[in-house]
Amino acid sequence: MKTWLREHRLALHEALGRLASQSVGFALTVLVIGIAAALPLGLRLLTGAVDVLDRGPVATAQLTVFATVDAAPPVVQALGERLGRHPAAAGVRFVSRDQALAALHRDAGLAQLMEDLGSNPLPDAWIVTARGGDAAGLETLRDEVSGWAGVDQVLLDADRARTLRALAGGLRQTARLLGALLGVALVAVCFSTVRLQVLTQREEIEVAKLIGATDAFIRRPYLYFGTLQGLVSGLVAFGVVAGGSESLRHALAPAELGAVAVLDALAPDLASLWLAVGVGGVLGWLGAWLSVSEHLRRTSPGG
Amino acid sequence: MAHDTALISLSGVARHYPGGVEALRGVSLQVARGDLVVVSGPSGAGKTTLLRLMAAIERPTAGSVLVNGQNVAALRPRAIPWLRRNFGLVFQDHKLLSDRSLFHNVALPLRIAGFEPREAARRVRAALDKVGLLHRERAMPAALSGGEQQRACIARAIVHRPAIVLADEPTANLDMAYASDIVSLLGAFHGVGSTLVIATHDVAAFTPLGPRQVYLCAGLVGPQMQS
Repeated sequence: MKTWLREHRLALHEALGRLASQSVGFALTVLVIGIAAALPLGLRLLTGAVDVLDRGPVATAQLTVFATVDAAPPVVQALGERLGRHPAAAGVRFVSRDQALAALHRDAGLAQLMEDLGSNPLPDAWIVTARGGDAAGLETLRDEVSGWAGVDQVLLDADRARTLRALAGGLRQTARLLGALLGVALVAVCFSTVRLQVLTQREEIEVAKLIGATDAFIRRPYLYFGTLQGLVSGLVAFGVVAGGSESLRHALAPAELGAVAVLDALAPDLASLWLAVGVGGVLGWLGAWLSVSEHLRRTSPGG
Repeated sequence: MAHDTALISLSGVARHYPGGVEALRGVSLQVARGDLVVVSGPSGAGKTTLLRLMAAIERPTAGSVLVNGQNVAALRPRAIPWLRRNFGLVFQDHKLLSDRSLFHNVALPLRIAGFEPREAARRVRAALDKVGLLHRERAMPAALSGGEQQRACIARAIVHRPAIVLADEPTANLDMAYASDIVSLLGAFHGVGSTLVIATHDVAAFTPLGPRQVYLCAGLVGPQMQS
């Protein structure tokens, strides 16, 4: 165990030495990878924010049920209870005709018109929220409720929720696709940078193999180098996203999105940091492994 | 010599290269523990190929090469590095790493074997002292003369105290004084019980060590002579 740790310490030391000897090239490489990797990471956050919008009050799929204008109070009460018991309804809020009239007076500036009408033309109504935001369930409920006695009209407002959900789905797909493509690109970049190192060190690799070095021994410093490259690239990506998100949050704050949670979702969290650094490290390791293994396979003396 | 006591045993070994070149043709040879064998012959006789087969750097086209009872041709690639650690290799072209100091070059086999750095440093300095290069431990290979590079190569070959030393033309391109130093060094190493197989044009240089001589010509073994 002690020997194993020592070998890894020496390999890490060697990798850091190589990194220091080509610090400018290393910095430029991780900058390029980091900026590119910031795109799927940023999209991931944006998807999270859209998800929050989708779940929030702005986009909740709702059904508005209007009673007939002449519905008697017992009928109205029975309708309200029936809606409340329905399994597809998560919540039912009653808006009486008097409340609706008061709201029209207050919000729409239609006071004069209402006074001219003499009596209240508005019906009692219920706002029904779908269980689990299920727009399809609400459509079924709309068709069912439309046939109830005492119900005049049922309006469904699920379009906005549907649009947001489609947008979130599209963003999520795009983030996945970009993430996969850039993952392949990161592996390729690490493959190339490590390959250049392997080519400059081929004399050392050949001698080491001749005097008994295992493939694992030869690979180790390169794997550390590739992993470090991936880790630092992940950190750069996280930094770019954190900076971009901060400025976006400032820009959106006065826009009254109606939900602080949306702005919070735009801030990169610890999970994003681990994701960027972890995936970067693993892909960097993979690129280095492929590169050295390919060289060893082609050049192994005696097998 | 009985085959079952041989440290290295070659039986009917052939080695052909693409293009129809036959470097070795049915060579049989046994090297016992503690032997000093000098393989001589003209250029292209197959001396270097013979050493490369013993160190599993190449595989025979036909026949078998046994080292410590292990059939080299049947070894899995993963096992080959462990076999090679039994050898100290002296290369004709030295194969010193040009970007590493003499100390680090000699320390390479110990690093590969996972020696503790302090113990490795002690052994490296002892080996450099033995070949008379301790005062040059920080020098880069390019700053060493041909003789010093050859001695450095020997230091690297013996630093991990291998059971077998395979030396390919260790005195080539050296003047008589340097060549004599190298012969003495290898003789001293043989004196402490190591097995040595030396490929050389210059058999006379090694005659004082009383080696077993094997003559190779056109890939075939000639009569073996014991001086």
